[in-house]
Amino acid sequence: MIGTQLWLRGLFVAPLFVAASAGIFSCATLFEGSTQTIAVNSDPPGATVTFNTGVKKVTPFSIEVPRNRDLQLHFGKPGYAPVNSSDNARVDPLGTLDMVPLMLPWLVDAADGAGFEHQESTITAHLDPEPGSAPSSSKRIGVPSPAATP
Amino acid sequence: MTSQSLRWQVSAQRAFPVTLVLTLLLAGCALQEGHVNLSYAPIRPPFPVDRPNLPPVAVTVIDERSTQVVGEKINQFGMKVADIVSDTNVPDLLKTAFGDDLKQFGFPEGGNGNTVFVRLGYLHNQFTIGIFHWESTATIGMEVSVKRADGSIAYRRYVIGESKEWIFVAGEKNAQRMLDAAIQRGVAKVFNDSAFINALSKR
Repeated sequence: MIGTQLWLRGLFVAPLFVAASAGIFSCATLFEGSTQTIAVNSDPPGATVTFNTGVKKVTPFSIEVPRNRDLQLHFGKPGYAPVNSSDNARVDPLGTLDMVPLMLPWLVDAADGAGFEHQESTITAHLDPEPGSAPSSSKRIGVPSPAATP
Repeated sequence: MTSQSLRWQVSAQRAFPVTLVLTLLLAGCALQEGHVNLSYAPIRPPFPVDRPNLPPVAVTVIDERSTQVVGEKINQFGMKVADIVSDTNVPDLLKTAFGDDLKQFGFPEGGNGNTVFVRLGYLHNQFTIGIFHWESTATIGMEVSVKRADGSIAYRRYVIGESKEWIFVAGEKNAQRMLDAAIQRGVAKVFNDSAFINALSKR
């Protein structure tokens, strides 16, 4: 008798638990959204930046980018050696809250990208004048750039 | 403590390890580094190649990538868990790709003519998860320039090649397929640009 009561209670509690998990804990989707604003600058300004998404803009500018998309940026300016830079997406530390109730809320935040964030919210590239045919410099945010010239 | 609450407590204690194990199993921990072998299929020229006296062309590829990683494996929750690296030498692959396609277009290989400089900025595949499907997006970014024998630049363009598909497995095979397609599309963009062919046709 008691076993049946417990089973019936579980039958009602389980869907409530799932609904509450999705509603309460998918906080990144609710409060942060699936895009993030990053600022892009160059020294000197006026460089054309080409994103791996195909978007082209001239520095300085701010742009809304998907939180879950790794970004590669190419800075080009006549007379200056081009610079490559990247800004990868990583799991938002607050997303760990999502993992408490059986990971269900995380699936919501991960699917729409809200559970991620970009490592850098401001990207600045320094462009050196192009000395004849000198190769360009390469730079990755947060990672020391190797000498990648022949 | 009533017998009912005691039963709840015991049930919860039993459920916790089961939930933990299930969660870890679902996470599909692909922690080992993945490897891909990239390849390239030459482009068929859109016009018959019968043009004598075309100047010779040399190809130089400069790898400006800061990493040899070409992607990351993700688990069932979209978290990056392991790198994917290329066993193929990507600059060599690009050099062969441009060289073979130039031959297809009728340009003899050699010095004392124009030089095609390819600066490889990045080559990367990213897996992302959705509610009902996963997605794989591979991109290549490279600056292509044509330099005359006197050092002047006759052509310069930054090219992006992208390949994107819905997938069901975020593994090396799909990454390799998408990266191959991204390279193919990037190189095709260059050869489909009449300014590039025109720049190479003159000395």
